[in-house]
Amino acid sequence: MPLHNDVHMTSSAEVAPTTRVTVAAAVIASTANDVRNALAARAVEGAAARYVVGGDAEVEKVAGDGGVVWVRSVPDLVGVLGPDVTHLWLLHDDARPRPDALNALVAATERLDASMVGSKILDASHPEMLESVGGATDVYGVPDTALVSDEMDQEQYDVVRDVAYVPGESVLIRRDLMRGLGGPDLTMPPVVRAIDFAQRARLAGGRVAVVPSSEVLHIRSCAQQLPGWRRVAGQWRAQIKVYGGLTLAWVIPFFLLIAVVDSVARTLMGRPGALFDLARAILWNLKHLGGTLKARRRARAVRQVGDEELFRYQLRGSVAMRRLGSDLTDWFRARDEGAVGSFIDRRRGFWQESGFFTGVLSLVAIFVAGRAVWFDRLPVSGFALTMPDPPAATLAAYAGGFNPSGFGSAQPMHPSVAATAVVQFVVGGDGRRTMWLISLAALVAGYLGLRRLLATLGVDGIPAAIGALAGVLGPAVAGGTRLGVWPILPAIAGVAWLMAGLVAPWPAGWRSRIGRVGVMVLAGGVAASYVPLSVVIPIGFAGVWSVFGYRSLRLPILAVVGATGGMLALAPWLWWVSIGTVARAGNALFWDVDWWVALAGAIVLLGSVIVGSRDSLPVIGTGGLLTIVGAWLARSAEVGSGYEPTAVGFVLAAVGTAIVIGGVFDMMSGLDGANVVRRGILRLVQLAGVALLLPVLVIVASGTVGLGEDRFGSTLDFTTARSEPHGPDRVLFVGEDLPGQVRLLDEIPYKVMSGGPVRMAEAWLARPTSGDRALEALLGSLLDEGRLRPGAELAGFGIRWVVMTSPTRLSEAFDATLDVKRLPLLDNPFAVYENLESAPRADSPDRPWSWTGFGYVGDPAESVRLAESSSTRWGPGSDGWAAVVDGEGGSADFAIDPTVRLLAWIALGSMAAALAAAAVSLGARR
Amino acid sequence: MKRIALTVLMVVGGTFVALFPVPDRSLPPVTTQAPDVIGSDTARTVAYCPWARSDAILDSTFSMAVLGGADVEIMVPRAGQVAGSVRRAVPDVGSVVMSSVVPFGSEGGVVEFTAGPASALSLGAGPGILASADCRTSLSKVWLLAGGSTLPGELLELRLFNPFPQDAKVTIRVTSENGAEPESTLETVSVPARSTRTFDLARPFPQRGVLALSITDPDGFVIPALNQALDNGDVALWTAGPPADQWFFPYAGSGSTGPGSLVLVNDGVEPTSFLVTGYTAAGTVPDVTDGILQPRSVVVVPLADLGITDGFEVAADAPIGAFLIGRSDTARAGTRGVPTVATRWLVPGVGSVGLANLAIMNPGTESVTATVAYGERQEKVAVPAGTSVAFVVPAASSGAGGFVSATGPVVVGWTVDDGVAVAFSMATPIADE
Repeated sequence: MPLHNDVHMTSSAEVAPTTRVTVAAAVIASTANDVRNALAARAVEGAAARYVVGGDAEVEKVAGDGGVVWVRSVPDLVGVLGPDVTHLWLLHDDARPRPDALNALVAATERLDASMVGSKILDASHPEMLESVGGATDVYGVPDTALVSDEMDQEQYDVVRDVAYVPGESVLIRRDLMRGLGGPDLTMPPVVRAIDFAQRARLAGGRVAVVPSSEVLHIRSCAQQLPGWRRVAGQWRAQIKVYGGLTLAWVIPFFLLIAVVDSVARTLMGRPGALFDLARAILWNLKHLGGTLKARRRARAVRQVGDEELFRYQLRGSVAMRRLGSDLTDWFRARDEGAVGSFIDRRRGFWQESGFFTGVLSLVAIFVAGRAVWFDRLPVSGFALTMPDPPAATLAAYAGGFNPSGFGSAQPMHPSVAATAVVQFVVGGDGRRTMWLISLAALVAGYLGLRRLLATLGVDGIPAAIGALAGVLGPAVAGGTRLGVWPILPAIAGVAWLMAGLVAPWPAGWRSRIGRVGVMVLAGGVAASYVPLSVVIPIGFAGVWSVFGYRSLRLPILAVVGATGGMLALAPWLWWVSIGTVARAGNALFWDVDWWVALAGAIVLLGSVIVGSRDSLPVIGTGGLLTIVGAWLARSAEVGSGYEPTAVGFVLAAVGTAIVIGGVFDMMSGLDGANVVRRGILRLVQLAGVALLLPVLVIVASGTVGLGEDRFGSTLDFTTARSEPHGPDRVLFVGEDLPGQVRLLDEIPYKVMSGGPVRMAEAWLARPTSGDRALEALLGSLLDEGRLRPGAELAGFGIRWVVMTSPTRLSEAFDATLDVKRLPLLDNPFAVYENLESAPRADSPDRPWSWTGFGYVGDPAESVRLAESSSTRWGPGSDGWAAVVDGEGGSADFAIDPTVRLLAWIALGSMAAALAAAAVSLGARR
Repeated sequence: MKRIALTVLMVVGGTFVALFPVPDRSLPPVTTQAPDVIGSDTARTVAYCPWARSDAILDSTFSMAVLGGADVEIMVPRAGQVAGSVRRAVPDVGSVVMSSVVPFGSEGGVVEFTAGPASALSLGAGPGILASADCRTSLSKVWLLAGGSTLPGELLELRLFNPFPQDAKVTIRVTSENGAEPESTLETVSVPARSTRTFDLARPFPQRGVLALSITDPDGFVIPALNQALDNGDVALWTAGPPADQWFFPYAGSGSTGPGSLVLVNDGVEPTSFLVTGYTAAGTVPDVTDGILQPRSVVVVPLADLGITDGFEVAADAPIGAFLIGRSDTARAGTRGVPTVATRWLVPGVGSVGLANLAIMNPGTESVTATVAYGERQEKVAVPAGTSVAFVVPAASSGAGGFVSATGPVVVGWTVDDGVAVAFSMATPIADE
């Protein structure tokens, strides 16, 4: 057969093998028949020595009959080689090399000084068809040969080149390398075996190249020796053998996820055994783990280079997922040539984008992190409480109506209550569905927003996916949700989109620009509604980003636009509170950072700033500053901060963490040329970065987005079950971990809430009113002096239940009294006391009135005493601190403040306008 | 340059963050007075009376004394309900008969004053019967009672009074002259809300010369008392108290019983030594006797053997219980000691059941002058240091009760003796401000 025209290629007739290279040929046996055929075809002619390796007694006999030495295994082969043998030629027993194949390999070895070279493999039944020319793999060891099915050999690959792996059917390898590696791993299928062999060779410092002038015909019988699932099993085994621990820490779980996704998809596509095969692959690896670890030790013992050397010849992303995407496309197309098919065609590109499937996996992680929420409900604790019904009443109360927290107030409820009520209104009033919908949307939108932000900062693909995941489920969110501060989740989403809008390229058309502004105002409104002070984050971000040279007047202008949008959404609330009050009021949160998180964060930040690349400095520097300022705010409880600044701290730290993690992992891909010291520090940074992702695993495992147990979901059902005909009466909570904000009496937390489900409308406390002060005085006297009948006095406040979430000094005040009785409730973790005195919230001469959530109704009466702080908006009457209303109409409602109501309409209108503007941009894109 | 600046900024910022003080969010400790006492053993505005009786033989009274006068409500619970309650105005001393609250029965009662300091006492007088039971102004989780006997002709009943709206669970350990007396039926006892539960101790512990009980309330509160009755009808009641390491008794007995017996009980797990000091009209008699109380033991010390006929003090190196028990053929009396001294005392009921012998004891080192106010009268009594002097309070036609104030710390108690029956009682100290 004529040789192909490569200037480096010569025929065996023209050039005799150089005397520097002495080759021993070994036929890798699979069956006796194949070995017999190989020897009969004189496959290993031309070598100085000939051997048959492996197989059973029959193979040994065949070898003997053919005048060839048989050895049991490759290590045995190395032991029997003559001292003059410098190279080994490993040949499959179903391979038929051309006469000059060996010479071509030897010539290339000498010329390239390569440690391992392989032949071009052609299909023996169709010698003009290419089977393999080696190639690249992805990080999981899945090969991507670039060949298409039934590709003709037209010399298109006839270039000697370094590759990730060479075909295992014909490999020439240096004897000393062979001795160090111990030969190919015969437990693996052929292709995986070849990849593993080449990876180990490269890891040992060897050069691996394909020599297309060396042609070998392949009968393909060896491909059927092992079942298909052994391919995945072998890939796992190969990963464990070659990669360092740090790489393994993420490669193995990701490969598992990819394998699961692939198996599920293929099962749905009509291959029902796919998942079973995956299970078998996992079990096989568990069974052979001992041998795998032994092989790993051997490979690591001869290791000369790090994993980066392997990464050089690897493709980004997952070949398996790309292949799945392509197969899915074809599958869909085969079933629907219409809209779906054309959609798939248009979108084909993004299936194959690196980071796409990582993104899918991240969204799966988010889903798993909140699985208890989606399938049951949000744990009722902290600030994640039940929404009152109906939402229209909540919105009306926010818009100039009654704030029911404590003993009532004219101060509007926290804006997050109104924002949540809007969503509740849209979904038809179901409070439970509202809470999980907002939680899910917040996490997904937060993730997507952070990814978008990172992309505009120059971080894309897998690093952006990891960074975004660390932002929505990382240490800052873990610290916040542990305290029950659920509102930070939607705030992070809003801030992420707001910041992304700041730095994204300014669109060209006016419609797109309007849309951009609309999105930013909307995002600002969402962020501000849940954590009001978060509106200042974009302004701070713009300032920091401009320090790194990205100066543009548009940045601060857009930041102010976004902040203004946020403040518009807060209009009714801002009418009542001052910034100073907001900064100091409420129970400050505190981010109790685990020491190892702090240490890992310090290593990541300092390490990457000190030795990171110049390109990564702006991103990591910005993220680091945001994280530090956020942590500073989130820990400023003892320096005078109230609830809102500390909540902002968590939001800021979460966004900053996303930027830092994304930047750090993006920086890792550019380690080429790094010196030993720099590489060592960056390895440490990488390790610390992985450590910072551990809280993500904790939150994912929790299933409740880290919000902890449901403390108040059903434990207060007794207030409804044992209620009087007028409805549940008030509950006095005392102790630790109460729902929402609390008041303090001699450092003992307490608060009063309505009976029934604990409602978000009462989570935040308004400024103390007359009723709050009166109760504080009573509780103080109970603490100091005790009372024999505290129930009679609590009755005046409409308090029928006292719930002690933990023992306090106030517990003693109720332990030995004549009118408060401890309830022996089973399955209730709290100490519950019942006031035996009648304690309706609204007392009238005939029958008590009923609380409606924001007002009272009952039988007409001349006057009704309400256990609410007196206010002219109830009416002119009062009984000490309590309100007395004219009950002739059968209802008592808090008069509306028209100014606040107008501001509420403005807030709603501005958000609606922003939404419309955002929709305008969607139309522009179409 | 940027790299350096950023590094410095991060180091400084991170240091600030790390150094921010961690807020102490732990709750203040739940403090309890040893041993788990609510309130103090001094006059307050509520008194828990473990015994009151109204029947054909006896109609006891709730006797009250309140400094400055107050309104009072007396509530008697029974079988989980409030069986009866009355309200009165008490100018300074007063009494309410049980039958006006509950027509018939033997229950406990709660006396609530609208102002204080105040205290109350349950007193009963009938043919051959004189009984007084002090009402507790404080509650405890650990109570000691001792001194009753179940010898032939003597009936001994343990009363557990729970005036509160929740059930109480108590654990009772019994000791006698024979040592520990395990009794499974008393290991965990439930006392329903707003009720009194009684136990006949003669049935499980017959023929015992002296019994001591340790009552602990792991759940809820009760007020225990012992009710000793003779076949001929005299009744003696004494209320339990928490252990203390010092007890004062301003008298040693009465004429009909002679010097009584000191009953000491150690419920601890370590031996405890005790020392008795006598206070007579002639002065202090130090080291009258001493001894070691073994763990979980009760000891009876006849005061006649010690030559004590007036007041005495018992001091121990660990908290114990101390009771004075008077016995004769026809009479029984008993009382717990007083664990404290004070300059002012409320003496409810003195003079209401006949002539009373008030005893004022001065265990200090300086003489004091005590002013005894009763009825319309006030009389001064000199009480030399280390002595116990007697003062006779005549029977009052109405409004029995009195007050004692002294220029120095004293201890006040009184006995009433009609020649057949006897009752012991201690006054209630007012805490010095």
